[in-house]
Amino acid sequence: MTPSARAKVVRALRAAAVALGASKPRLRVFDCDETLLVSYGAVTVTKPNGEVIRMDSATFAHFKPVEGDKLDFGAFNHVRRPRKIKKTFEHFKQCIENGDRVAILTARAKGAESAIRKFLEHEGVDVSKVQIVGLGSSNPYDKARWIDKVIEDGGHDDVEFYDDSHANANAVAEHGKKFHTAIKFTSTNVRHPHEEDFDGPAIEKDFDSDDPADAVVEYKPRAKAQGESDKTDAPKKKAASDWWDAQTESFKKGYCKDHPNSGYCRR
Amino acid sequence: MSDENAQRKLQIIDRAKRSKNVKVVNYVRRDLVDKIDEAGEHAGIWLESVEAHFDILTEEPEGLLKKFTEDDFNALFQAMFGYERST
Repeated sequence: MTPSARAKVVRALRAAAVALGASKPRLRVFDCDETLLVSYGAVTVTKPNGEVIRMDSATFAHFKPVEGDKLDFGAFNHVRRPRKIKKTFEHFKQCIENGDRVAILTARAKGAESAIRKFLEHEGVDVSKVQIVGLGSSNPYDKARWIDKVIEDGGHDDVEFYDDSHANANAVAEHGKKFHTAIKFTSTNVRHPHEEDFDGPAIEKDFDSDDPADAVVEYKPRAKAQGESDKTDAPKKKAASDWWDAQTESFKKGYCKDHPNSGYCRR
Repeated sequence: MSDENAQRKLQIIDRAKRSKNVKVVNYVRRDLVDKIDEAGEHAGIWLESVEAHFDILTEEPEGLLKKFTEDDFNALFQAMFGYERST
């Protein structure tokens, strides 16, 4: 018997055992972003003069908004121009085919579930066989606790978890060692994807959430807490144009290339 | 969700203080906490995304992190995510 034929027989026997109630389905839980796919997650800043700047999430960490800027995180509810990460996505699909109980557990908010579902449908996945859970949390122990509850409710005795986040994989592994020693339990920290890990270029399509969040916040400088010192190593507050003028030429060139809608490029 | 962000902020501030790195403490207390509030229910996924793409910050530090050295970024990573950054 060839290995693939043997694998088919094993899958069929396993499915039959589950159907007869003789065995619980295996539980396979996957993180979404940077594990199954990467997608364009931008923070949009709208200036009081109407200018729109889109920046990636890391760039926002060093962007200094000014009063009146509107900050929009709504893109994290959608799946924009996704790229599949080949190895984990193929394994994900195989688990579904195997008849395992498969879940996607994401730090995205609940509103993102429909967008993820649409993407999976586009990729030919039977979404009725996948549970998609937007936890809205990056607390690693929230993922661990969700898995604990599913194991308790479902009686699963063969559990695998996949996440690119070291903290998440560790937290789940820790719970495995503490609470699930009697079952087969593994937590895998998959590496952040490199170019060779992708399954082709980005899909030139956006999958929008059915429940777009109202995620626009107008920036207001925070009032200083009592005793908070004025001394700081952070740069002085600058107006928008001063911020742009203070950047290097290479930053400006790269910025305009990545953000063609930005009004800065028209200066 | 605001409770979760409050807890998240306290955790990051606490780790920043333990780093004893003034630049990291200042950035976390004055800027990062605001960003977490602004992100609201998306703070979790935003931070996960920053964790995955942290190297983008270090390539050409600008704006708030312009004066950060490699050691400062390592300390910031540890404060934000609770484990050592691998380079």
